[in-house]
Order: sequence, then C-alpha cells, then structure tokens
Amino acid sequence: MTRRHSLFYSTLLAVSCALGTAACGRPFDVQTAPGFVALENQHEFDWRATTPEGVVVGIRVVEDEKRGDLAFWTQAVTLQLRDVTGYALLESADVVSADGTKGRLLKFGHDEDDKPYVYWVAIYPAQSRLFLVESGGQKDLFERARPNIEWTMKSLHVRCGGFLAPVLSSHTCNRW
Amino acid sequence: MKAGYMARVAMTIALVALFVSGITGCGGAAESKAPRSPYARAQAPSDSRAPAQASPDRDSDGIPDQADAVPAAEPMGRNELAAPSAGAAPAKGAPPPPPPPPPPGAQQPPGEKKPADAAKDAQHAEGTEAPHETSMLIYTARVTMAVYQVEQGLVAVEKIARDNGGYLALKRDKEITIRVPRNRFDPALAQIDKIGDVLHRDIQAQDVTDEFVDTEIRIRNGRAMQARLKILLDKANVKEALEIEKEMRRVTEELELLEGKLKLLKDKIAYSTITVAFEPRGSTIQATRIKLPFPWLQQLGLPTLLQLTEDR
Repeated sequence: MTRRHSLFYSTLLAVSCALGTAACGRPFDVQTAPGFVALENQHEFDWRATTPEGVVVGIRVVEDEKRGDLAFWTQAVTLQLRDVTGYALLESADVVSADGTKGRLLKFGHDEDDKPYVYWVAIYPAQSRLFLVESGGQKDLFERARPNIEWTMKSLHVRCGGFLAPVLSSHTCNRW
Repeated sequence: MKAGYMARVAMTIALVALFVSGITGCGGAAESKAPRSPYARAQAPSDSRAPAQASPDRDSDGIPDQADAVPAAEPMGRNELAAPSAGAAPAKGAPPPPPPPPPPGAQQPPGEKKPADAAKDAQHAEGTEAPHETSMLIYTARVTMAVYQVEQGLVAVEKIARDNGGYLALKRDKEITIRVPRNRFDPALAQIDKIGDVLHRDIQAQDVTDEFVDTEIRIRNGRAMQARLKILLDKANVKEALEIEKEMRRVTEELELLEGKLKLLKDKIAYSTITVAFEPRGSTIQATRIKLPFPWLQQLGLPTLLQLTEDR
C-alpha cells in the first residue's frame, strides 16, 4: 500500500466516522443549565431537564415535517394551544438557535389547579425535522429559573437531516 | 203700531223656536239612525242609565225624548266592561273616556301608526341616510378569555364595572357578569380587552322599540280602564259591584305585570350587560375545524411536559 493509498483510506475513514456520528444519537446538542438535572430515557421527549421545584425544559424532534414552513407550524401550534386548549398567548418573538437556525418562540400562560403557570414553546423547522423546545412551570418558580431556561435555549445546536444540508443552506439548518 | 210691534216679537220668537228645533232635530236624527247591536238591545232594559224604550215627546219639540237624552251607553260584556265602545257616552258629569285600547293582535286601522313606525316611515320617505334610532337598543356582550390568572381577571372585571358606574351582576368560578351604563359599554369592553387574551367576542344589540311602545300603550289604556271602572263602581249595585271588582283585580294584575315588564326593559336599555368567561373555545373550534393529522400537536402543553418520568 503506497502512501497515497494510505492517505485516501484515512480520509475515507474520517468521513465515515463523521457521517456516522451525524446520523446516530440525538440530532441536536444542548447544554444543561445550572440548577437543572437532565432526565434519562424520556419517551415523549428527546431530552428533558428539571429543577428541584419542577420547572421543566424539554426538547422534541419531529421527523419528516418539512412540509410546513415556520409560519405554518407557528399558526398550527397557536391554534391548538390558544383556541382549543385555552392557553393565553402572552407574547411571541423570533429566536435563533446556536447554529443560526431561525425559529419562533411562543409564550403562553395557563391556570392549572387555579394557579398561574407559564408555558413556552420554541419552534425550529430544520430541513426534514421540526425541533420543539418546551419549557414550563408555576409562574413564580418559572420566573426565578427564567435566565437559566433562556441560557439552555440559546445553547441548542440542531443538526440537519443530511450531511450536505448545512452546506447547501449557508451552514445552518434553515430550509432553502 | 202696537200690532206691528207684537208682530215683530211673534216673528222673532218663531225664528228662535225654529232655530232651536233645527239644532235639536239634527242631533236627534243622528242618534235615531245610529245602529245598535242586538246584544245592546237585549241588555238595555237592565241598564238603569239608558232609556228602555222610545219615550213620548214630553217637551213637544217634535222629537221623541229618547233622542233628546244622552245616548245610551253600549252594553258591557266581559271585554266591554273593560273597554267600552267608542260610541258609548260617559256618565253625566264624567269626563269623556279616552279611545279604547286596541285588542291584542288587532291590526291598527290604516292611517294610524305607532310613533316608532311613523319615525321609520319619515326616515324612509325623506330618502336620507338618517342614523338608526338607538335609544331603544339593549346591548349585551360575551367575551371569552384564555384561562390564565382567572382570579385576577375576575377582580379586574369587577373593578372595571365599578369604575364605569356599573355593578356586579353574577360571579362564578370562571365567569363574571357585570352591568354598566350604556354610554360606558364601549369603554368597558376596551378595558376588558386589556386584562387578558381575548379568544372570542360576541356583541349583540337588540332593538326593543316595538315592545317598549306597545307596553307603554297597554299601560296607559289599563290605567284609563281602571279609572272608568272606579267610576262605574260608585254607581253600581251589589251584583254589578262584585263583577266590577273582579274585573278591577284582573286589570290591576295585568297592569302590575306590564309595569314590571316596562321597568325591566328600561333597566336593560339603561344598563348594558357584559359577561366575561375564562374558558377554552375547544368545543366550538373542534366542531368547525379540521383536526390536523399530527399527533404531537395534541401532546403539546403543560400536563405532558410537567409529568416527569424516567424509564429504565
């Protein structure tokens, strides 16, 4: 085996490893904020962390939801939570993940057992996936944990469905 | 000379007599031609105030006494006692009665119009875009708000009522009804909008002009009827008095109901009603909206997020 062949195979191995890493495991990276503990084996969530008081941050990844754009999913989530479930839409804002993927944060309020609760959901459509970052808890406890929740959300780094996707969409998972 | 003077006096007397007889004769003729119902004829003998039959011409004016007398009152059946016919004459010394009330459901004679109708017709005739009369509108609103900070919301709505000169009408766990003066209806609604996320708003303006005017007329006629019954009661014998008192009770009860209705209408017009409900619109939305085929949408929300488990 010549030196040239050796270099070729090394490169091939590195690319294969990179692709393998990208394809396996969670399709995102997120940092657990101080004061939170990440929970394991979460069925309905791909990642979930909680404070001792029960303020929770969770991330769901919905596969193959590239049919709708950000406006579509924002409206669908708003209709479901506001009109059907009766949540109060307090605020909505544009957000950007750590990797530059654009999303929308919807801030809701709702009474549970006659106590006010806060529920946030951020929606990031990224290529063939939809990333949903949810957080919620009793209002006063949530307000106390709010900086750490925002820190967690900013640490989110989503990965796209295919390895060429970031290249084709200017190094982010935004749909082109 | 004397004979001439006597002739002039005789001529004057003759002319005056002719003039007087002409006047009374006209009146008598009119009365004698007035038709009377068979029921009136049958009841007339029992009516002490009406001559039973044609009387002789005692005053020698060439006209029977019946025609000279005040025309007989129409007989009074169940309804007629309450509302004598238009041709009936009042008792001597009594003021003439007001026109009878229209029977329920009866059509108004052509040419006669209710004030409200007349106003509408006037607007129509003018062909102008005159603003609709809004003084007889009852305003009601129902505001559905998202279920968030309900207790604070209820307190805030109650305060809005007080600040606008209104009052609390009803308060439940997640619903409150307030009443505010009609001129504060819009400002109060605008203030309510600011206390939470309004999911739905339903505003109604009900026009009660016809109902209001009808009730007023019925009350006026009822009072007139009461007055007439009192007059009749003074002159009635025991048997008649019992009947009249029975009728008076009925009229009084009806008047009380009508006055209550009018008071309620006035109150509803003067104060607008606003109901604020803190509830999801789920049932109405689900009925009209196509359910999206994305199961995860239904899983969004606090219950799923906050139900913590850690499977092994």
